[in-house]
Amino acid sequence: MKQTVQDEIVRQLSLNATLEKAWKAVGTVEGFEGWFLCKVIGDWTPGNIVTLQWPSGSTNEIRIVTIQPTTEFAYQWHPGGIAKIAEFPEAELTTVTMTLTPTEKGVDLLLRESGFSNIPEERRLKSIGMNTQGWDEEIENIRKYIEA
Amino acid sequence: MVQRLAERGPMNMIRLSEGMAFTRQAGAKHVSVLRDAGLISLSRSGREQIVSLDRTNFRVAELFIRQMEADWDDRLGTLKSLVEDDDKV
Repeated sequence: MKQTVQDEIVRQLSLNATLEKAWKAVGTVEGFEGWFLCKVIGDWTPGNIVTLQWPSGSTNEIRIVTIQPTTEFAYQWHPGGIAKIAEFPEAELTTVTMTLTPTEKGVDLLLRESGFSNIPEERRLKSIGMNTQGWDEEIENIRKYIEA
Repeated sequence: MVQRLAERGPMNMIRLSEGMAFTRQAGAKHVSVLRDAGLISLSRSGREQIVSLDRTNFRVAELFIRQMEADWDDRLGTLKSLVEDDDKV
């Protein structure tokens, strides 16, 4: 049987807050900076590429896809690293969609990031702190161990 | 060898050994070591033996996605406390 690679991350979160507050956190620059722990540089408008600057000074880019106030915010990026949008092929971008739904007690946030299965092996390895060089060394060690 | 498989996907022994600085016997031995270590798998296509990085690929993909999930859980935890703390004020 062929093992398939998980393509999506889905998280659902119940927030005890008003829809307006939840939206401010999810879909506006001030709110987003607060929980993403970064500074947003650029024009927060659908279709635009903005830069996220981390406290360490490193940056990466996201492309805003949707800003539909109080309902949906979506963007694309190359996850797991500090990459510019143009650094890797378009087909390797993942799409992050956050959807807000009012409930009796507050707001439900549905987070969905999809497209992970299109990310090449090499980038996955780098992202988890390994690279193929490392694997070759690892295997060499295994070989030495087995052959000793 | 592993790098080649990671970059180009499953292939037969001849292509896998191309340009490598070892004999055919050494190549076969290398492959059997990797197979015994559970890092590659072998299958047959007609008369050819195909080598693939099956399990390694899967482990890497899984580690990667778990890391991405952990990142989201961290961020969403921060989001929740910010939004809800704010609400109490």
